[in-house]
Amino acid sequence: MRTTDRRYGLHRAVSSVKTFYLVDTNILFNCLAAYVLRIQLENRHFQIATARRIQAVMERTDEGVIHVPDLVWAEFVGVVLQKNMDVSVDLDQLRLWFRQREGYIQQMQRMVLRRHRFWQWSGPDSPYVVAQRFTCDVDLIDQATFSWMAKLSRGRGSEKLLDGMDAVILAYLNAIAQSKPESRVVLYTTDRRLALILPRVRDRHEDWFAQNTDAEYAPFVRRRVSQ
Amino acid sequence: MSEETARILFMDDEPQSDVVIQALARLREGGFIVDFVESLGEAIEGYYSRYYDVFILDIDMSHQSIDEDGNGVEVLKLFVSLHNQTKVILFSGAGTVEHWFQAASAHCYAYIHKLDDDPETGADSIGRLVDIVQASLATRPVPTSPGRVAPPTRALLVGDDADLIMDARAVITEALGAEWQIVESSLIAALDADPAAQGVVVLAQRRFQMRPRVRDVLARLLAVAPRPQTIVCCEGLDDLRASILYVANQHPFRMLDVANPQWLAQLGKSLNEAHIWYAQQEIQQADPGAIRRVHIVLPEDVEEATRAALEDMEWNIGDDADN
Repeated sequence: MRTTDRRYGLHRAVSSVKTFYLVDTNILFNCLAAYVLRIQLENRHFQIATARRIQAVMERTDEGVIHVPDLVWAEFVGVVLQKNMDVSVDLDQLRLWFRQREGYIQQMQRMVLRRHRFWQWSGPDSPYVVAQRFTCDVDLIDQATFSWMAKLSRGRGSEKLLDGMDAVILAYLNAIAQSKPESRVVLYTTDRRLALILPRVRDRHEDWFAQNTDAEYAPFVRRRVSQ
Repeated sequence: MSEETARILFMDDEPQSDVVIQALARLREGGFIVDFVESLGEAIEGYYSRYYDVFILDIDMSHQSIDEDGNGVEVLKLFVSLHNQTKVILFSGAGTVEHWFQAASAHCYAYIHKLDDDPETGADSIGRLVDIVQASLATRPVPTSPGRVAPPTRALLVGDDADLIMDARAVITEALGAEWQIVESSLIAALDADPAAQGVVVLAQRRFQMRPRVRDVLARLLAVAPRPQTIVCCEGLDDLRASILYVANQHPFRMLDVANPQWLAQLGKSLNEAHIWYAQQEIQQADPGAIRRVHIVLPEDVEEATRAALEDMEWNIGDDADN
């Protein structure tokens, strides 16, 4: 049985095995939103409590524990520059808007550089090539997961899983975990589907996918997501 | 945007002074659009409400701003923390020794004393101001990279004062670790060194002569930043203003006053900071309140309304998701 310590959000395994975290793009964006609520003003799904919990995790987790993959950072920058974009024809205003957004990005960059770690992909293959192993696995989504997703979409059929970036983030999780075989590497995400599918990914791709991986779903800290 | 249409915010609390009147006239003659403000508050408001290419700030604002705390250096720190490539030129006749060091360490683009002529060209302070504004507009922003490049574990320690060098050497070893190799050099011999091959450069010398050869060495060592960063330690005395401001205008990563009893502790801290920001422009931590104010385009009271709306939303969505 795993004993956990929930001091400020993350489940921390109380054992001799060191735990590292890989954060997803949505974690970075939630953290930013905790500082600047207005960037989520038009998002009716935004949960301020979740954002604040994530902010606490990002601010207080020990140095060097949280890893931010280069791809996640690139996507985060893209999201910040795209949300509530200033489409006015006033070029002065656009420059002001851009400088402000760059300021947000810089503050997040400062936090990562001073407290956490950027993680750069160095594998021989592109992470997208690795990710294709998931997207080509037609049996990865089992009946239970499919039914659950169908229920979530309420018949709209709009739910997606491992549709590209999701699969790539798992490729990163695998790469980081393989670089730290004596440690546990946890994907910290607000994407419930991704957190739920990880155990099945681990089982079905046991021959190559790192087994020292786990996932933690940020908005519901009272539940253990995998294993 | 071309130089001709660049917009400048000029803050000074003495609009009737000859220097300010002439500076404004010369800048406008140079084709710049110059908005003039007389208080710290107006300057800060200006940062949020309009895009300015360059900010020119006075330091001592006590003539007009008796109800305001702070000075031009505090405003510099705020602006640079909100965006690390904001170009701020301090144009003051009343800054103290402490301000010179603070401004350099906070990454001002330039510091011009209102009474000083250019030591190289002989231009008056207003001519220098116009030249530096033009130079700042020609300086392209340096793209920031999220990756952290490991610096070479070599420190170049430059100076001719044996006691300072000995103290600095001990601090470098303590702050960066015994595995760092420390290469010592006299000031003039540093012309032959390769600063780009170092993980950090520390210049520790009480005072710098303003001879052309010395200026060449300083400019060359400081030009390699941010790969590596350069920390300058020298004596802060009023009569050394010309050399101190010359160094400040070469953009050191940190500038420390060796007359300050805390300078060795500051050096240790600065070395760690330089290590973190090796090969990158430093990003200062901004006050969260200042970051939130970035959306000043909305009325101030919207902040509370937004917060209330989001709090309500949280409960609705949270209940839904839990089910």
